[in-house]
Amino acid sequence: MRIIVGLKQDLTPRRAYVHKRKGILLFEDPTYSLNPFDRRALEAALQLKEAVGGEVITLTVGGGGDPELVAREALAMGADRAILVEGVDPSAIGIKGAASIFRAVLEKLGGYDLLVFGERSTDYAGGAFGQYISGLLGLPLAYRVVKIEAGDGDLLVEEKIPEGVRVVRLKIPAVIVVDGTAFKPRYPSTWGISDAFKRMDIERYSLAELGVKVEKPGLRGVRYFEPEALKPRVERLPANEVVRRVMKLIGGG
Amino acid sequence: MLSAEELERLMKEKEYRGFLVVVEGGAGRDVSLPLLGRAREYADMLGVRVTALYLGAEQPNDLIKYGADIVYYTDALKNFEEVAQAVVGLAEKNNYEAIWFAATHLGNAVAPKVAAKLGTEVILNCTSLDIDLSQRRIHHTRKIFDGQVFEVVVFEDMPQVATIVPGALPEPFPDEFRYGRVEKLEEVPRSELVEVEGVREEAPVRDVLLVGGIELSSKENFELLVELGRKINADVKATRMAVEAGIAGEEYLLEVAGREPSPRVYVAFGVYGTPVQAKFASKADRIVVITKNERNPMLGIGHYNYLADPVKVIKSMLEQS
Repeated sequence: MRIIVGLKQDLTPRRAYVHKRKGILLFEDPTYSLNPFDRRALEAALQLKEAVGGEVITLTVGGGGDPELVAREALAMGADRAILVEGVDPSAIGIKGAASIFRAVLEKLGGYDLLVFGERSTDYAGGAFGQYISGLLGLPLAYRVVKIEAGDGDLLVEEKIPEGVRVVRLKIPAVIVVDGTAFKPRYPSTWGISDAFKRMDIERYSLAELGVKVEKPGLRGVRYFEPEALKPRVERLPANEVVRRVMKLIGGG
Repeated sequence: MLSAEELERLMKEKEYRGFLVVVEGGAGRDVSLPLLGRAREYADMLGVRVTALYLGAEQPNDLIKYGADIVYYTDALKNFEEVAQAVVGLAEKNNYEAIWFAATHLGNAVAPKVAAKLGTEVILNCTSLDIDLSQRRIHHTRKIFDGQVFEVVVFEDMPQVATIVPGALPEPFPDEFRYGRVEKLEEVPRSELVEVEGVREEAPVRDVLLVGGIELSSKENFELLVELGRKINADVKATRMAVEAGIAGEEYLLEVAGREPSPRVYVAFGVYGTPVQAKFASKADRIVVITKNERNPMLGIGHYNYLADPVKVIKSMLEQS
């Protein structure tokens, strides 16, 4: 089974805040790292590969810092191939642009059986990419998946819904968006890390090679503001009253 | 004065008019109704119509009084693909300027599919909506960077596809004197690629983390917390201090390093505010601190701080749940 995992490099600053006077978005100590939700998607793909065989290919569209590290990390965790599209800033092309690049790479790759994505990113938290790709390519979709089983020409997956779990059968090729709590990601092994940096190569594409012209994003951020801080208040209450309020907060009782 | 480009843009968009709200049947119905009320409000400002697509069996006559002019209903749509195709079918025929879903499992799965098919962008989980009448654009507010900052986003493309989180908009006002048209959706798209085999009901998984600290003071008390977690289906963890003191087992240690997704609600039972705990907790949407020590530094970071005996609270929560 040929599984393709979309990985994104997230902007992970220590703090994001808004300039008081200019109203622009600023970051304290901006660094980049692999989106933790995508790491779970990669874990799901690796588990499926271990169960039924095949190969796992990761695909990263650009990144602000050093997107190569994302690809290397995926190789270290156990991916077979890593593809990187260079010279793009994902936050500057929008979901439509990123999806068109993704589609162009998929066409280059030829066939595939499964596309796996994380639930959302931790920076701009679009949370729509996997579903968007499934709409663009007309593929069946399973959203917030907690369990995947391969069948004969199809997949039996479990989706997390408010009432419990929904069991869905998908014809392949299909798109799966992995739930943010399922598939606890593995740590890269020592030899994996060594291989990822010494022996394995990253396949690189540029936009010109893919023949994609990126349009300007269809969304525009017009204003940023920080949430109003909840004022902490200390209350001395009897245990019963505390219980009543806590149960209400956690959505029970 | 409008620039030539601006004018061209406005002229090109002239055909996009009206709102489409997808209303789910069953449990999702109540969270979709406020969208209908808000769509009505904006449609009145712009002088356009509101269409609702109701995904349920019964004839939804009451959607008219919540603000719809035209209601299509069907219960024949079984999976995401079919819902998306039905919405796209309506959108291509009528060119709505905005298509709204409630941010439920279905809404968040289908909205991007619809946007992709219509060649536009999408915004998920909006926390509030506003309208800019001069530009004829909707201002969508969403959380970015783990909710540290809110971003107001507008679309350059049309139509504007969005999902709105439940509870973000006020309850709609039913107007008994409105009238409109209710029709069964005739063309039902079919997709053989997905088949829903069934639903297995489970106790709801709450995105809640219960953390036990040093104030629990004994192994037995921590066991009570574990039992409570099992009962209400929440995660239970312990602080390093509690593990070191032998109150909780090593397997309960809360690993605060790394970038684990943060819980929605973090409840601290007698936890002391070491910087690591405070840093981890501060990413949660709601922080509840229960302690008996009024000098506990965790009281400074909690949104809800209660001075009470954590053990007593756990015991009576066990009785009530």
